[in-house]
Amino acid sequence: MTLTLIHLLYLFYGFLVLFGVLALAAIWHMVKFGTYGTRNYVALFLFLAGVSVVMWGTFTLLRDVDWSRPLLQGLTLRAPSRISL
Amino acid sequence: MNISTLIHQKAYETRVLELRRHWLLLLKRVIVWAALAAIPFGLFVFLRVNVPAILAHPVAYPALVLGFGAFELSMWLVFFTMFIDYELDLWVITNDRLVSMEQHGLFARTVAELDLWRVQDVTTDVRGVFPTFFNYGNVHVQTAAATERFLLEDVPDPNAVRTFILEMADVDRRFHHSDAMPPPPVTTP
Repeated sequence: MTLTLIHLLYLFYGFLVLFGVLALAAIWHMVKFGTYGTRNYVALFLFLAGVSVVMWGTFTLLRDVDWSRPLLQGLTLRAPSRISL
Repeated sequence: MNISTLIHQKAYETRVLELRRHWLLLLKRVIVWAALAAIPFGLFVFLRVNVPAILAHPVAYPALVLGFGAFELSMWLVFFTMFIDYELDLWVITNDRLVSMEQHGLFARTVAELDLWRVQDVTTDVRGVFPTFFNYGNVHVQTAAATERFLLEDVPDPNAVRTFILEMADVDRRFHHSDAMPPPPVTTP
């Protein structure tokens, strides 16, 4: 099986799922135990805005990538042709 | 949620003081966080200047972008967790008790309270350059019952808080004392 770039993208998606779970836990904590104040809303807005910008930036930069390329392209392992003692 | 609900405020209780850690502690963490969050951007500039070929590589470039993206998302989560850790650490002093709510990361939370009339000793602890200049520090509250001291960490103006707790404890102790006294004897002619 050849590892291609798409596998790296799947790995990133896996990370996004974990990130989403932890982010939801954090937001839940804020809603459940936090006090409703301007600071909380500003922090939540900053967090969501920051996440949106990072996601947008990442996927914009990856727009033209060919995901079928093998990951180890260009790396070759060659056995030594002659062993001199 | 408002503070009254958080502390299950009783009908006869009034909130007299709400304390959080000093803002400087959050600022210090945010500065360290910002420095760490800037690393991918610095690395990007470094690669662009020194190894521009890597940014045109069909495999290394997307791998780097995915890595940077994951790193920055993690940093945002760290930022938010840091804020929650700061924001959800709260000490509330009412006319009856002292309630401590402390958040430790995302999955640990401690809530404790003590009756003010039980307070025996309150000590403050200001150590270091920043705490001295910005006037923040720890306040230890010792009760007769508890072997462990109640700790209000890095609160602003700890000496004023200490005085205030002692005054409130005194008022509450007088109230409890008068409450515990037997009714005055009825004199018959």
